[in-house]
Amino acid sequence: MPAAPPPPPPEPLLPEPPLPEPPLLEVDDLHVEFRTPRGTVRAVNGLGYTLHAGQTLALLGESGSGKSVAALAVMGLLPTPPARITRGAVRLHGRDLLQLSDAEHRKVRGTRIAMVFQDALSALNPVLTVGHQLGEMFRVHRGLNRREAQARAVELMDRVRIPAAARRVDDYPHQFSGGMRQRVMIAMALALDPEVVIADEPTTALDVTVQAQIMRLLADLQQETGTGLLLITHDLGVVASVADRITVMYAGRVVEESDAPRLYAAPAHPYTRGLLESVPRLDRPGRRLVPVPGSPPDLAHLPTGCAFHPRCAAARARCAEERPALLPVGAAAGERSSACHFTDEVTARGGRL
Amino acid sequence: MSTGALDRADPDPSDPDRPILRVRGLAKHYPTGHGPFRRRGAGAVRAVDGVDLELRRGETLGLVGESGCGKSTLASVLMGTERPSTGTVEVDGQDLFALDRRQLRAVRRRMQMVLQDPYSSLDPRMTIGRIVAEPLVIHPEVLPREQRPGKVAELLRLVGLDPAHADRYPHQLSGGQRQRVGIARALALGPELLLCDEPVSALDVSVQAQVLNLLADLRERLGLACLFIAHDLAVVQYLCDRIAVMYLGRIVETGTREQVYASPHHPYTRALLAAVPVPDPTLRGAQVALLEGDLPSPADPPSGCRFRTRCPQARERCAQEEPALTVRPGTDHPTACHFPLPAQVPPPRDAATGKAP
Amino acid sequence: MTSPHPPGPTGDLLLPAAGTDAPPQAPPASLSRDAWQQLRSRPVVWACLAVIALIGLTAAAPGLFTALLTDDDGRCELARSKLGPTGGHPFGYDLQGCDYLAQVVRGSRPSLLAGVAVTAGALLVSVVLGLLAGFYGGWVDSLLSRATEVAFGLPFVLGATVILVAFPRHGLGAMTLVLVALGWSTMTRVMRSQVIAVKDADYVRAARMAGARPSRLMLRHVLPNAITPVVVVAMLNVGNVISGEATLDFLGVGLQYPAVSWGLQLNTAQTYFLDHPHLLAFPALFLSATVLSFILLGDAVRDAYDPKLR
Repeated sequence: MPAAPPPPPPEPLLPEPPLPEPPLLEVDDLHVEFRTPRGTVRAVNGLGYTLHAGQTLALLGESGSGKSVAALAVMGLLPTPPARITRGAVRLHGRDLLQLSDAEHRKVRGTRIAMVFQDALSALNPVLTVGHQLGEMFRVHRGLNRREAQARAVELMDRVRIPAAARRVDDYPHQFSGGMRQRVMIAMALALDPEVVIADEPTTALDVTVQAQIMRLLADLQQETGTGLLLITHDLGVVASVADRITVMYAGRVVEESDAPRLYAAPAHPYTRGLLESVPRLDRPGRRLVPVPGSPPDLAHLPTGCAFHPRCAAARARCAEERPALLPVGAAAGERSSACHFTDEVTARGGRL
Repeated sequence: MSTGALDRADPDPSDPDRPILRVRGLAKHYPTGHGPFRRRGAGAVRAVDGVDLELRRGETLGLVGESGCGKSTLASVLMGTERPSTGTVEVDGQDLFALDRRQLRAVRRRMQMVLQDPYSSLDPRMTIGRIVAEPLVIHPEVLPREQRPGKVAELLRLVGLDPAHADRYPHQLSGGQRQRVGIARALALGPELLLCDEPVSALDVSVQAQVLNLLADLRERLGLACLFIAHDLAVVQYLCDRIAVMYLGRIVETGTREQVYASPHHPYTRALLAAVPVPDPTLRGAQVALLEGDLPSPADPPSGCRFRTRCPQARERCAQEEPALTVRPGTDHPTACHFPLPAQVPPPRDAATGKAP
Repeated sequence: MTSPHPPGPTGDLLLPAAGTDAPPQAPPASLSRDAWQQLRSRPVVWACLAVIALIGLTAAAPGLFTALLTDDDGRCELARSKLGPTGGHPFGYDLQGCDYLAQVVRGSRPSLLAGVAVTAGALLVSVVLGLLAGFYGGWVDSLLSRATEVAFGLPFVLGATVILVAFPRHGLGAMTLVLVALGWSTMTRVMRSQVIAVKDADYVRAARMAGARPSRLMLRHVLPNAITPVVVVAMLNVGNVISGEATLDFLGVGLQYPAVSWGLQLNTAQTYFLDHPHLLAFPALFLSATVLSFILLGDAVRDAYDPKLR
């Protein structure tokens, strides 16, 4: 590994310095690798982000960016082996979850951190009713009896706006449409009032109209409950309307970190800019797309220096040699950072998209 | 540019400008239940239920709809892999399902398809070269055998791949490269009509634009007519001259790109447009009306207008009378709605972004 | 995400880039290459291959082993009947006073021939029938599937016993035919389900849309992508057939004296094995080692090709 210094620990993001209260969820210098017969796949290479209570953070990346692996690491759901967390910390209220035993981690999961998966159909047990599966959360973690648990299940289904919840509680997962199943998944995640909800591509498998419903539901519920919401996605459009902050990942590390409006208005990293310029947009018809050349990187053979340099139009010799650190952009230090040797040039041009 | 499919007289076979593809009254019903003990009078899934389409040479038509609207079934019927229950598909004036085997093979050469998933659409046990050459092997009359390797190299260059890739296997290529191979295969026989079924939805975001631009360029250079099937309205807007919006097996609105996007008349089209996420957080305040509920089952579609169960404007007449796809007073393109929405002036999104330079 | 594309090394969806989107410079990760990688690292695979190679060699050139390992001159003397192992005759003598090592070595040929020939025959039948049934569906499938079910219901050894008893004068060829007739159903079922899974793959659809005839679809696209699991089952089947053939010989309905086979040797040994255990031990050892090798090898290959079992 190149001897680049690890990025400095993130400054507190809230304006009042210094905060005695540790942030809700803090991922610090996380490294995850997979040992495979074909070599070591470095899925996450020094990921760091901070999620505050009541905040929505979007973790944005393509396939192979390590975003889902990182989420599973936070949940303690990585299959080990083949996965190995080689370095880093995942702190919930300052307590490192990676140091917990399996039993302790299990207790945290569901009660304090919950997850919504992309594929609701395979995440639900097909032979149990939806009400049974929702109620199970209360029976196992809260010790409620069957009838009480069932009542709570109906409440939850109401809360995620499933029509006729009292009737549908005895239905099986396959009797629900894709959108309704995703609502059930969200209900299950919210069942025990967790402090952090991680949603991994919650709308990717859904149609546009249903996708919009689910995103709105997630945003509304987040407002109601004040949880921290970590949205993992590949779609810049989907998170634009809900995310407060956005962390862009490439090849297992953060390339840009910013509040949402400024990231969309003037991206500071060439990759973010490439993503924004390569999607067709309804609000900008007639614009020629500027594709990002090449393919996402092979995590078993990461490029040297900046992992994005083989695809970057602005790349120079230095980019292949030296890995850029994640450094603050502009005057407002700590609010925005980018890992590019030539951030200033990119931001200077980024305004006109 | 044509304004619709219905208000045109039958094409004259000698007319050089007649449509390359003409679909009339096309329906595909799948009986529910199967086997010899099928319940008598059991219903049918009406995957496609009375579709008219017309595609002219060099034109790109976008067929938009959510999953379950029947657009993939329509593609299978158009490609001749499934027979329609009723209706006709004419390719350059020839009815696809009235042809004998030999004639059908000849017509097949003129229309080819690009499939959605570049991972499953290439045979994992064939090299790229053999995959691209396969249509030429199937139609040996197109090109003498000894010219095939040269043609394969030419096709690979055409789609932006290194001809040296011909010896590789699909798993050695990335998703974007694989989709290029799929496009090269579709172009091998020099088709006039290209059917694209969600050609970029399985690709990474940063790679989608490569394939979209490639399709746009090829269409220009080769003068291809394209039927572009997609669920993503932004992608369709980028590539297509005309749009047809499909809901539960029927076309509910059709018109030029400008007509449909600037002033959607059907409530479904408007809801679809409103649901498309726009990567611009400054639009966060503009909460648009979202569709409620899900697509009804195509086995038991609602009476009258099929969209009425989710339509915010539904009235009594909508449940009783099925609206035809025609141009109505106050509209400039065909809509299947009794109460079409007036033209939007100004469309809210243009107003919001219009100020940005 | 159910992709027919061969899964990555771990068969794990957690590795999006590694398995599915590797740029060309990465080492290729095809299923067969991964399977071979995994097989190569298992000692049991090499042990099985060694045993099978050795038995194969004895079947091909029994004289080589007899000449090397014994002083056997091919003559049998009743005086030496059932004598135990001695120097120069490590396996001792059989009932007729022939060198037992030479006899056991000669016994491997019918066993191996039956195992391989029956399996090859059954494989051929099942690939053809499974391909037709799975590809065409409809009445072809109904007809073939019913026939397969009937055949599946017939017991292998008992069925063969009944048929062979009815036709007492038979050689290895006739026995092979009978065993093929009773043994094709399992593989046909596997083949049919594989074909059904593969025939709707997008690449088959693409070829169909290019105008390919059914024969091309079946032979070029469906067969190569559907056959692997059937070959694995066939490998397991070789062991079963060898033990089945030996059982029939043992029961006296298979090969008849003067033929030489392990089953016949075991049959002879049953009367004397308390006093002359070597008569039982050596053919039993060879038979078990051969059957076990085929079954273990088949198991290992199946595991290597099944990402779910890793």
